Amino acid sequence: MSLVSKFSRAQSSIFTINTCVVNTFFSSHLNTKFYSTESAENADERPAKKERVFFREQDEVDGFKVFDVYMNKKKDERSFDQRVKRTYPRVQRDRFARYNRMPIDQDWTNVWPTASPFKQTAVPLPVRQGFVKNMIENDGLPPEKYANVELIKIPNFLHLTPPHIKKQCGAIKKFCTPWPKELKTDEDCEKNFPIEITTSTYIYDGPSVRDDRARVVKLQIKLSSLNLDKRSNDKLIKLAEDRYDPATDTLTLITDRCPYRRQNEDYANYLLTTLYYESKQCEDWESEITEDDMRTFEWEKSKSKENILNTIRNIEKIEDETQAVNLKQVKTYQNNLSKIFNEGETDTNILQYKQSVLNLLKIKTA
Amino acid sequence: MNTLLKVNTLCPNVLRPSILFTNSIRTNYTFNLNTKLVKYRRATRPKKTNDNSISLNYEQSQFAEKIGVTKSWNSWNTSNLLEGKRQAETSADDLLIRKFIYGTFHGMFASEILIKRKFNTINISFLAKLPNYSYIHKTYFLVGYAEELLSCLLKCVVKINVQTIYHKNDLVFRTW
Repeated sequence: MSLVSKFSRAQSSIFTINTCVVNTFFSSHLNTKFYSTESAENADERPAKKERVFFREQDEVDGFKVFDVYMNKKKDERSFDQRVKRTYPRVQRDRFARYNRMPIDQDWTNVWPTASPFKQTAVPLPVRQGFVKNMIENDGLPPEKYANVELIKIPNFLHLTPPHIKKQCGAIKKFCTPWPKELKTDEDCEKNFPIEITTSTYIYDGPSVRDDRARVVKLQIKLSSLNLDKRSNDKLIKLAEDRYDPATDTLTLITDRCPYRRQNEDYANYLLTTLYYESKQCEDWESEITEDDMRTFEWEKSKSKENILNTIRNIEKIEDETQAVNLKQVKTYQNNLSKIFNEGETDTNILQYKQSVLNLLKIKTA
Repeated sequence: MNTLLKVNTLCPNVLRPSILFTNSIRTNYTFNLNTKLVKYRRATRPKKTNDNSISLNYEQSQFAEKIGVTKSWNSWNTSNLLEGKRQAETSADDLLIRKFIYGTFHGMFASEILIKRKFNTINISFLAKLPNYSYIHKTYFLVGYAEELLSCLLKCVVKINVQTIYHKNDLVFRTW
């Protein structure tokens, strides 16, 4: 009994479930089908996705285009987090601000006389600073000057505007003297003031102004301005070693062994005077100078002169030495040979040397 | 170094207080600007919340790798330049100044303390939110007191530049 009753109950329940399922399935399927067909029919009429406009036309007021601060990034749908409520809107702030109470024709040099960190209340400019990634950050706008720490961080030049500079130059003008009329060009300056002293001043922050790097003194002078004869000039160059630059004919003395700049400057001057007088002095052993000791090749003292005079004696039959030296082909040979020794073996130098040798030996080429 | 030990002063009432930068000194001095490694980039970032309930100001929203790109330094001096002098002294003095100013103007800060050095002057500037109007006179006294004491300690001219804000919410740059 129990089994039968159980079976019948189960059967009935199955049936009921089946009908329910079928009904619901049909209804839902029909519904979806209905909707899908409807949507498929109206597919063309569905509004297309909005394309982002990168450069939309600017508004015009009285013929002037209004600058779009949002740079076309503003979307009407999204906005800044609504939970962040700003109690003091900008209009209310501006009423009390100092920059709104300033007269238009004020003297800016009195408002901002010296260097100071940025004060937003004193600057009547709509300055903004900061990077904005998207609309989530600060409503898509770079932060304004009010409560902007970045503007205080960066160095400003509001104390160095053209009116400031004009005013300060006018104030110190009475201490200036006119430039001497005699010194018109750089050559005049070099002629009258041959010694050039270079020093560097270092500034840094801290309680002291001293800097040990400022002690270095560089003294430069052109050797031609010393009016030395050839022998003493060569001696000075030999004494100066690498301090002399042959390309520009300048002697450079750098002194840094004393603790202060003034001492180093005195020492550099002392070095220059000793070099000058030492090179002017001619010692006994200096007459024993040989061809190897010479700084440059000199034909007059070389062995080449003897050889050439011998050949000239055979070719031209000239016994007199001065007459032989003054010959045209000998002079060109002398110049070209010393060029090769002093300037180096370049193509032109070697060609000239070859030509002068051919002329000297009277060899005719085809 | 971070002076915003209580960043919850910045948060609006609706949002829950921020947990940012509670360990003040260590985190800011130990970051590395090597942005290639993820662990360094992670160092100064707060954890992102699902409901964007942490509010950040501009300084906090630009993370460590953005220093020198979208935000600048809090200390400006010549010691950080090439062959700059007094590196150790300057950083130690900065630490002293920050500690001193943080204790003197306690509870008023709305931004980091900026220290700008030029020749023998030290410009200290920060944003402040005064609790009420009676604090104006107190702040004027504190500025003079701190200037005098710091200039005696550091042997420099010290200038303190306090800029007030109307409301804490004015500083909120984004929610995170």
